[in-house]
Amino acid sequence: MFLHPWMIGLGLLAAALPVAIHWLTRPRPMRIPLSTIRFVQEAIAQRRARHWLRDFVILALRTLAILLLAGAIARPLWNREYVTPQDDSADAVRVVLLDSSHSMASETKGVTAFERGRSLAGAELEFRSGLRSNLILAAAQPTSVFAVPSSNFASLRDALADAKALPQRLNVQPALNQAAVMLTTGSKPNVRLELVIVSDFQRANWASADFSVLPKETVIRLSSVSEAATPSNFSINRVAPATRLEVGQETRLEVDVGNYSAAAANLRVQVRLAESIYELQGSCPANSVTTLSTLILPAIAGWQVGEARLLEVNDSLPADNVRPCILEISQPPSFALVTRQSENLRPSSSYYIERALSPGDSGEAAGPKRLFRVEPENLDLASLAAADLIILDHVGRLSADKVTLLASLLKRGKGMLIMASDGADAVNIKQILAATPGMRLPVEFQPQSAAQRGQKLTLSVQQRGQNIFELFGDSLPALLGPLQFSDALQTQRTSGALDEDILAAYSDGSAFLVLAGADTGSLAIVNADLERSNLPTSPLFVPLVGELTRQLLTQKSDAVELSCGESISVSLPGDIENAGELAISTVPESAEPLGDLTQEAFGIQWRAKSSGRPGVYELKRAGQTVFGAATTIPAVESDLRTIGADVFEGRLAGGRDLHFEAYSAGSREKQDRLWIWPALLCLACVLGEFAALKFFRT
Amino acid sequence: MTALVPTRFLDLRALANLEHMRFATRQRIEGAYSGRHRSRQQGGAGEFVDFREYSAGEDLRRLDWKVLARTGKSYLRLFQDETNLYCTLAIDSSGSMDFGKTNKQRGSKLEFAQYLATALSHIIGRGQDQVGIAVIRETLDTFLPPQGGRNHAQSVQEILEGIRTQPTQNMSAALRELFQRTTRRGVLIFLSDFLMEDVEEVFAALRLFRHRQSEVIVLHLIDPDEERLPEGAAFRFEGLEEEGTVDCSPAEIRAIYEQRFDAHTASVRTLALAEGCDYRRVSTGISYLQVLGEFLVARTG
Repeated sequence: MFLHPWMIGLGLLAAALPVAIHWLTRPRPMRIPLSTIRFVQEAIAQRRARHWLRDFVILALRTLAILLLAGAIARPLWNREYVTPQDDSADAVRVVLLDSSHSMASETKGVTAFERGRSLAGAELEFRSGLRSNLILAAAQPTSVFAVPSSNFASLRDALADAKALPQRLNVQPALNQAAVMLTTGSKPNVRLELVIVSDFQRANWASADFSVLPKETVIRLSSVSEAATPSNFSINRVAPATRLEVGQETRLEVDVGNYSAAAANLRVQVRLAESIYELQGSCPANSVTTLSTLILPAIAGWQVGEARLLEVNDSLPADNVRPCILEISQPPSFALVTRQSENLRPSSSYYIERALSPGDSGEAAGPKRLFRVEPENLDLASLAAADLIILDHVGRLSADKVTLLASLLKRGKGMLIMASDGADAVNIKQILAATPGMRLPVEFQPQSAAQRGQKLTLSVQQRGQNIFELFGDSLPALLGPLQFSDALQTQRTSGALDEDILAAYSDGSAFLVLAGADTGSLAIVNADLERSNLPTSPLFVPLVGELTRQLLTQKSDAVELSCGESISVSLPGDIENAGELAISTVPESAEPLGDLTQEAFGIQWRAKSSGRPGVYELKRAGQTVFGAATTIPAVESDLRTIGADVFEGRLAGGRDLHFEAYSAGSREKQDRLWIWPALLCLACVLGEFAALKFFRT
Repeated sequence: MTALVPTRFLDLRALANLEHMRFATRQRIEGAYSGRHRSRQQGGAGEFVDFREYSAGEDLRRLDWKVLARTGKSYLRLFQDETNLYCTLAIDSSGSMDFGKTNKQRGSKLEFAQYLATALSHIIGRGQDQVGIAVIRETLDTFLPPQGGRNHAQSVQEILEGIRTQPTQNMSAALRELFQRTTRRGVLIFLSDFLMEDVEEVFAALRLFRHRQSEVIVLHLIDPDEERLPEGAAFRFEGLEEEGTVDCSPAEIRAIYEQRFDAHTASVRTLALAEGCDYRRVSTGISYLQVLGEFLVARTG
């Protein structure tokens, strides 16, 4: 195969040039009689052996040089195994799916993978009678040029020429689904269906591709643009505080750095947060993500915009070396304790919790209270708006609207701690979970049976190294030993639950402490009646409650990260009201649509068809930022490792006729550079010609 | 008696300077009549040259009676007889002898040979010697045996004037025929460019003359343009012996050609000398009168 096959014809014509020049410039002989022609003939015969060889060698070298030059210009692409259609004259529907995700912007030897892909896709969009084509640009959301395959190849090529790699991840399946719809629409008897996919075939994106959605008779051609050797890339995958950022509270700021290269690297990261600049440094092993961290001490509350930047790196994908971020610096947290118990009832479960969470909120202390009590009957959005964490203790049976409110707050990022002690709590938990899609617990709580009432229970901790009990270290057994409980709710493991999801369990197997996370907020359930346990008097109690709330508050983060190009659907925190007063802006400024804010039953919903380029969205009220979201390049796009042909042909093909054309296996880069060899040989022929002339002359 | 008409090759005015010279042989010859040339016979009518003791049976008329009377020993008086020359001019009339015909200044080799042979026949005839002519081609084309007399010399010159070339590859047969038709010892002057294919056979035929004790003089005619190829980019050479044509660029074969030509002339000379012939290389670039003068001087010794 040649990139410019027409050059071969031109080369063949040019190869005749030396012969033609020789013939045309040949001197016209003068006729002259000669008596000694015998000697001339003998001289010619003697010369012929030498000069014929010289002439042949020179003519051969000259012709070969021209042919090689033509070959070099024609750009040979030998061994390139195109899956050529068996019958080019047959009607066909061809859908070309071009990966335009961020990884396609990776640059090798000055050429991006997308540019390579563009040329490959362009070759598939050449006009042919009976062929209808369409082009799908696949990134976060697939975009097709036409709704159905068309023979308007000029428009397809124009769209291809205008296409570029986007800072988005590749959502493979929606693109395949769209291609499947097009191919199914165009499916007719005697019409061949072809799907040509041009991509770098990143392992992370394509490992779960399902080709079975395509019509059975589809011929799938995968054309890879990836190098044989995975190019080195470094990236910043995450910028986030280790815990909730609070004014005056020293907090660890973590930056996840990806080293997608074959060697370990010592990487430096500069984080700019408002006016402050922090520098992080650390060694990052090959092909791994390393978390670098530094301590920061926020001084002012509010939203702070910044970015993290890798310093002094040279990789194939520079755009992911910078990651924008927006962080909220909060005031110290406040707790809403929802309980039926009276504030004056002492000792009581709610009293223990109040003392554990807010030991300074005694009657005589000055300043704002960090914990306030709410009667379950008075439970509403306004009463809970100011709370960072909601604690339910002895609330009794909650009404459906209260359950819905709590579920919506949970979805909007509020943390929630439920002290489950009776059957009403078990029902409440079940209802809250039912109203919170996406939130799952490893156990199901049930009221204790009569036989189990009064049974003394002890505590054991699962997975010590990975849960909140870790802070007690080696003294944990000594602390757990004296603890006694009774009348705890029974629990039953739900299907698919793992042991590690239950952080602590009783001696009868019931769960003591479980955690569940939702999209934004998180839920912790302590299965214990503090009034029937010696836990509140244990030195373990206050630290345990503190760590539990800290973890719940950490998981509750108002700031969200949006992936570039993906649709925005964000439930704003419950304390943000009046959508009409909110304005959306971006840093840097962008002309792309910013989305709509709609007031819904339990808060404001922010929706947009797609998020824009990397940057920061700020929702402001009267110039004051009340919510922020960073739009970032998905970290998965930074890992440029590819998936092998055998995986496609064996596991993912779904019974389809699939052909994988590996860029590296065909050595396309080598093929693209094959022109060097004929060029060098051409030069050698020219030098050989000079040498032959010199040799025969001497 | 009719007046003799000189041929176009006989320039008597030019030959006037050579009138006093005579063609001389280097060895004794046989002649029909008494002449200026030393005869192989040592009779009693010539010039006294020596004494020799008498042997029984010898002619008593040559006995020196005075010596016998004075010394009592018998000696014979020896005298060198002089006889006339019996010379045959053999002219190569092959196609190659036409070379140079287009050169108006110099003329062809055949014309040169015609001038030279005509002058020789004139000089030989004036010396009361007998001269004949043989035109050599594939066969003996024309042969006029040597005779004396002005009319015969005129005939020889007329034959010389009428010679036309003809493509000829081999000449040995013609020379052998000439040998057979020549019955007397004498001198054979062979004017040729020796561009025939059977050079060795030609000299084998000349060897027959030498075996007969005839003197053979080889005049090797060479045109200066044959010695080197013309200057120019490309030529189509046409053979004069029906060899066809050859296209070539002289520059490419000049050296090899000259080597070949030199080797050929050297070969002819070697063959001639080996057969005891008197070899003379004659360039047609030189006036035939100069060549003739030098030749006669050299022959006179």
